[in-house]
Amino acid sequence: MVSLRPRALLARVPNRGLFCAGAVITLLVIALVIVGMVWMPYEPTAMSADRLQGVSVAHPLGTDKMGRDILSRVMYGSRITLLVALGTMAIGAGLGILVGAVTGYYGGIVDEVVMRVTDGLFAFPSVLLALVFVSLFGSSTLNVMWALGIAFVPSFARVSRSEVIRCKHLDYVKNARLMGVRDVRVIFVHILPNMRGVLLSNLMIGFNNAVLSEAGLSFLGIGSQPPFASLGQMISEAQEVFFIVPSAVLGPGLVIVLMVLGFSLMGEGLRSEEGRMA
Amino acid sequence: MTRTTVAMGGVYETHADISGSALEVRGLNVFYRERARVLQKGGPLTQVLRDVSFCVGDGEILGLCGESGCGKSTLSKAICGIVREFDGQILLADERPLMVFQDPYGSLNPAKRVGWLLEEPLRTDRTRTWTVDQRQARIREVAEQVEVGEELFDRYPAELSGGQRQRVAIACAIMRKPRFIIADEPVSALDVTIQKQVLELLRSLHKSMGLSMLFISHDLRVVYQICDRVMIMQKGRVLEQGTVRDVYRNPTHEYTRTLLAAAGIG
Amino acid sequence: MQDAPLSQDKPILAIRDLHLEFHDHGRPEVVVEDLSFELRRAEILGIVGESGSGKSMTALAIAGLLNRHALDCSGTILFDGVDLLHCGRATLRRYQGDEISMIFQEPMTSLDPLQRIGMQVEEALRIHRAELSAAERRKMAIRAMAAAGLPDPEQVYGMYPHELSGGMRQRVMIAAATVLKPQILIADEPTTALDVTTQAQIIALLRTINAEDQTAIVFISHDLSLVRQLCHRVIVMRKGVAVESGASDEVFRNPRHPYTKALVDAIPKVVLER
Repeated sequence: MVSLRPRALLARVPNRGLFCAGAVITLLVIALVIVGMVWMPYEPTAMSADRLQGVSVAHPLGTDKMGRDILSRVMYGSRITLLVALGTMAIGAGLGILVGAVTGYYGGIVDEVVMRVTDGLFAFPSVLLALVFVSLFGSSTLNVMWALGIAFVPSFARVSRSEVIRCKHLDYVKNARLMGVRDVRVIFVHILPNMRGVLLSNLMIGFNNAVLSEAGLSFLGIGSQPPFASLGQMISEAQEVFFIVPSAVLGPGLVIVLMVLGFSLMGEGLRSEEGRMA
Repeated sequence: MTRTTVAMGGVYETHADISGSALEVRGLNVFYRERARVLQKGGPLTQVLRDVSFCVGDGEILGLCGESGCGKSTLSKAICGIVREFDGQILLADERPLMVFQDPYGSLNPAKRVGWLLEEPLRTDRTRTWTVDQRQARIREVAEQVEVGEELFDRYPAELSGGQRQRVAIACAIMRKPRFIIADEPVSALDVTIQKQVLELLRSLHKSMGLSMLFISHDLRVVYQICDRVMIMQKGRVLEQGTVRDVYRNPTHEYTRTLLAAAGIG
Repeated sequence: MQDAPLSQDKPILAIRDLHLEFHDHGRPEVVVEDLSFELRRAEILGIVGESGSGKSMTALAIAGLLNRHALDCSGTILFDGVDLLHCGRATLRRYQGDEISMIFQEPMTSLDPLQRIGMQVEEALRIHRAELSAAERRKMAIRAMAAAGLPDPEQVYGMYPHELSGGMRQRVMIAAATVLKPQILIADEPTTALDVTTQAQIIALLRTINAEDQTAIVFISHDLSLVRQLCHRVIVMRKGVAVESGASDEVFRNPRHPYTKALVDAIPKVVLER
């Protein structure tokens, strides 16, 4: 496996500057979430009489139309958004890589059928798929995770399938098969570790899409239910008061931008000129 | 004795009773069909090997010479038991053979360290279980034989030179103490000076272990260096076979003469 | 071996103190060190060496294909009074494909799979002889393809690379490189990926091109016996340094540098007593 010493790992990153910039931004967002788990200026759902306050010392990002502190709500919302994005990735990437690896390795009729099904899934925008799923199973944070996760399966399945097919014909994989190594071991020990470069940058891009899709869905009012809000919902709720309290939109918006930017930069940094990790 | 009968009536047998030989191939015909896709019939059958018969004696190195498309790689696949559609017999005195490939950059898993790579053939050996101590002892023994220093065990293949990689690949192939291996152009991708060293290594393994080999090469000069007998193939057929001396001195086929001339022999 | 061209011929290409150095992540790596040689008209010059000897980088430098941003280069490559190592892109382009052209090792990847053969052979004409009509271009391309030994060039003209064998593709590459009868042809391991019998044919073809069009050839190879067969003169390189040079027969018969000796010794020998 790769050496786990941070310095040695970092030395293998093709574009260290971009990667570090991205990592700093991402750590910033994560810090916001972690601080929010231990301490928030106010209860994010506590209403007060101070409605639609602008930026002040008491309320650094002002208050919304129900008098709730926006900074506290942003801290809480980032937690939900990050959780949904990570869950989406775990489901989408986990299932997608598995499906792609198995179909790519064995080929044949199973491959044809599964790939046609994922092609079919591909034809629908992932948000639309998630909408259908949520309307069938009800709107909750967990369901949004599953819905988006399943919608993300095809793209990961395609990437991992094509990588497995490429690796399958390499001499060292042939060698392992000649040795009588069992198929599961060939896939997981001999092939998958060599796909990490491609997968890693795809994970980064996928994470961004997950953040944006989640924001999009909650903007439409699907996902975690009020009074608990994710970042997308906050923006949606605040749009009518944008000119009174701009920070109600800009605050959560900025966090979304930082999340996406951080991961994009890290992904770009990992990508060498050939699109693989060196 | 393990006998498998494949489609088209071919017989593939390991631990076969063939005294004096490591491998016997009798009347081998291999056909190839364009892979069938959903709702499609496979393409027409093409014959890749025609009536190929030969044997590799115990402790013998047989050179297999021919140009791209002559059926060399199909033949080695068939001997390894990968080709499932053939007619004829493939009899092996031992297990399914392992291979040493041409490109030392492609034949080692780039994500694993050398020590791990050397251990893999033992970990995955289905014919016997190796304890951790036995594995370590065997690895050290083989590493010494192929002159791979233990300081290389912590390195990744990318950190080795071409010659070192090929030594590691050879070590993997002989790790389970086989009596027979296939070497597919094992020195063609190496620099000439390294080529010489690797050939010497193969020859010394052949002597010390009594290792039999099918040595595939397009270079008749290299074949001359290491092989006892040679077999010339063209378009899926065996044109001629015999001791290296006989074939080089009195080639019976025009094609053999062309190959010899191209190698600057004769 | 043919007779060497007259040594009083003026050199057409002069390389002086060529020094190429990568500066990858702060660690400088010298690829070619103080290399000087001359190429005379109609001469076949071999550059031999093992991997990492800098022979291919030298070839790329002459062809003007180096990525100058990734490299520190000093010295001069003088052709026709112009320093190819330091001149502008526009000047370089004037020579590339017209006076200096190059063929590569891998005939599978050096042709564009989506373009017909004819178009690829005509490429240099379209750039350097824009005044020619399509019919004239076609005529010249077919003539070059016939000269490169492609059977039935009219038919091959309309085919795609995947329809041809490796040897045929290499002939197409040669036709494309020689369609303007360049003064210098750089051949970087042109036969390494080919079968031995095809290899011999390509060597014969290079010899013909050299004899008929007076094209000087820089032949880069790791195969000493090929270099000995084809080249008038040879430079032996190791780790970026030219360790020995001279008339090829002489160098191979009496190698002076220990490395050359080792190389010559490493050629597998076949001794058949009759």
